[in-house]
Amino acid sequence: MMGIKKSITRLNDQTSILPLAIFRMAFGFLMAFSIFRFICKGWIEACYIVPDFHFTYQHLEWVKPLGVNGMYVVVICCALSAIGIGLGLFYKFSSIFFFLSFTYLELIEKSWYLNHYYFVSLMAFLLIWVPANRSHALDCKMHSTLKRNTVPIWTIMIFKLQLCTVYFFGGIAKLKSDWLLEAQPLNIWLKARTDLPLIGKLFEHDITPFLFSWSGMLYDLTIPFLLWTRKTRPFAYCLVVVFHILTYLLFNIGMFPWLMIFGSLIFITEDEWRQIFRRKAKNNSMGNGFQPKNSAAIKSMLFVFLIIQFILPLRHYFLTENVLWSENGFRFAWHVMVMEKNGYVTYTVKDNATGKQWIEYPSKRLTSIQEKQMSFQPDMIWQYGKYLEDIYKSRGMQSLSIYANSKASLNGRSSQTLISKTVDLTKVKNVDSIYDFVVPLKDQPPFLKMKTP
Amino acid sequence: MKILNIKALSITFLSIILIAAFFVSCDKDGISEDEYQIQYRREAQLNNVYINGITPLNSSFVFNTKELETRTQTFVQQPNIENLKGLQTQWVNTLKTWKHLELYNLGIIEDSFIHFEINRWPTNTETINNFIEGTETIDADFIAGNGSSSKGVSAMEYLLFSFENNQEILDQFTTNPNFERRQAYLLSLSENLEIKAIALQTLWTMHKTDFISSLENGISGSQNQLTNAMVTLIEEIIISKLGNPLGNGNGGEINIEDLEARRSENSLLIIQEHLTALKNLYTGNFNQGSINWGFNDYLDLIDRTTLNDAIKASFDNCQEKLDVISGSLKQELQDTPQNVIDLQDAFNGLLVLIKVDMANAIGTTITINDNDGD
Repeated sequence: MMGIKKSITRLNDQTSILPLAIFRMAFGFLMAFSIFRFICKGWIEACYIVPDFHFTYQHLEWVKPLGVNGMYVVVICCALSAIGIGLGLFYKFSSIFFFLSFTYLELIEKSWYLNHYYFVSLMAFLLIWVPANRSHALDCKMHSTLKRNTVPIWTIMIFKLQLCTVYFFGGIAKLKSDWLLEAQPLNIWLKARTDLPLIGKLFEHDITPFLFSWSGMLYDLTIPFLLWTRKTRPFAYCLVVVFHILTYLLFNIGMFPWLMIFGSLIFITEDEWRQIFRRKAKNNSMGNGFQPKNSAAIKSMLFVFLIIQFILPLRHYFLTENVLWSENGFRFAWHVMVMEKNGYVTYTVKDNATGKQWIEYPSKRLTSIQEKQMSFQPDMIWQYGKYLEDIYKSRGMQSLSIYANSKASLNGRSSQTLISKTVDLTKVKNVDSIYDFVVPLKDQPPFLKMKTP
Repeated sequence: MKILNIKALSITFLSIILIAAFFVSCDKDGISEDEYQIQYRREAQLNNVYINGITPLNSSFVFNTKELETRTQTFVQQPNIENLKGLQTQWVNTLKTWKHLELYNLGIIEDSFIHFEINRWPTNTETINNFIEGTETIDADFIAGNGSSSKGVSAMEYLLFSFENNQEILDQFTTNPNFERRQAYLLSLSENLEIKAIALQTLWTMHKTDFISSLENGISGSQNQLTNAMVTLIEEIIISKLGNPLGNGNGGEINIEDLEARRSENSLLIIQEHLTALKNLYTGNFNQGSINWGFNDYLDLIDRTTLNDAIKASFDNCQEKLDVISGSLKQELQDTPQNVIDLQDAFNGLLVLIKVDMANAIGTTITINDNDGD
């Protein structure tokens, strides 16, 4: 008990602000680059403007996109606030605005959900509560009284814990038979990259996906501890760089590797930076500390935040037997690159008043990304069914039945029915109930099947 | 710290190089027998598709459009029922070839939009009538400068076929107002079609090396492009060519006006030709002899024989459902729409196997999604 109390008290001890300042700069500038990349790729139109219908999150149906000009203004301001974070300029405002605007952009369209967007929102939220602009920041240039050399340990530890959560639960998510016993989806992905120069030949071998799967799982589970431990940190950071560059080269995963490489800089202490650049330590480094106002309240809030972060990735164990198939509890749980899944869905709409029925093709009303993502995610299949119900009811058809004809393939298995064909989606009143109608996964991946006599 | 860093980096990179060297040294020439077979089969498949599939189809299409132009000349010079029938028959021959070739809309061919120029459906009859009733000189340049919806295979069908009888068509080309301009429009259409057929053939000749040598697995790989081309055509059949006439787009009301080639009553023939083209591409069997590598051999090679059997059975099922329809598609929609629904379902089954299962097996889908990571 005393030990815990002592540890909690130690969180208030002062430590160098440098890791926090470096993290702030890396995060801010990387986010600014990421958002401008988003604009240049035409994704504002593709994600927010072109779709007539948006897949919203449960209880957040009120989050809607603005018009073309409005969306451009929001996205550009979001990028500018990221630059503000990087420069440490109007930091409080920049960090709050960045968190709100980025999260708003993320919540508009579920089919564009990515684990790293969620991670960015979490990191941005944490930045609001820490004094990351008290060093190496334009705010300090403008107001020299702001400058501090040290901050409480908890202001840095919270980011480390958040980063470790991603890795650790990412590793837990890989403790599945598909990943460990079938080396799926890496078996499919690596076999599809045998054309890669130099290393492509490695992927021809059946054992390679297994090596990658097991080492990936071990990497995720151990890297938090290796980064945390002073002795292993140099090796661990090299591993972070090599691992994420490899994933960048092999897979189409955009900014995620860079986010993790730059994010992990938070672990490197001021002493270590000095050793790297062979600078001598300053004598007054502990003499100008900072203690945020309402520190106790902030710490309590962040404690609750962390508890939630530990619970969310595990919730699927209480919701479903196979999270990869039903995807109940899949999001916000660090299921990073654990499946290759695709599907095809059409809807049978029946006008009960006339007895007429017809097929609805989602490609007529959805973008290709929306259609693809919906085709294997039960909650989105239900959402689109409700959207069709609204469309036809507005045309005067008050008594409708809508059925999904859905087939999906998971990690190389044969395609199977995802949602029961007999369930009338108009009778399924809320999104949680759709999981009751997910047809259990029957087949096993082809690799295992081949080995079975 | 810096020394530690360099040391750690060196160890990591050295380990990777050693592992790589170990794997590479396991095989002669740095490539495994399995991968050699896969690459060899893939190359053989692409060669087969180009040499035995696409090239003869292009030659046949050029020949048919040339013959179509000749027959059009004859009809314009001597407009009578016999010449009209001869021209109509040649139009059907051209259509049949095109419905095979239409499958191969990929690479620089797709980028050039030449398929639209050759066959945009439905054609814009109002625009065509306005052109004929107008005063601008109608010649090859005039047609070339117009949009794709007023020219090509479908535009010729509009001018050559009637819902009533051939006499009505003949009258339009002999006695009705503006008959000379109608003749000129028809002749210019046939000339334009021949030019486009030659242009398409030239494009394919230019694309040959890229097509055959793009053995990579990515989206630019020819095998993946062929898979996507199959998916696109099957979806077109399900949604536009069968779905819309079945009323899928308008609350279940049968809508025969949405049938492709409704005037000439060749809607069913088009589906048949598409199915044959798809099956030929899948099996690699273009009636060329014993060497016919296709997707079926490729799936067998990567131990997906069960999937291959399922796809072949699905093709047979589509053919079976097509054979049930003995008359025209228009008649079947009016008399027994369930048979058309069954045909659509059969194509749906084929689509799932190609789009979901086969694409998954050969790793096509992972390169399609243009998003920003995981």
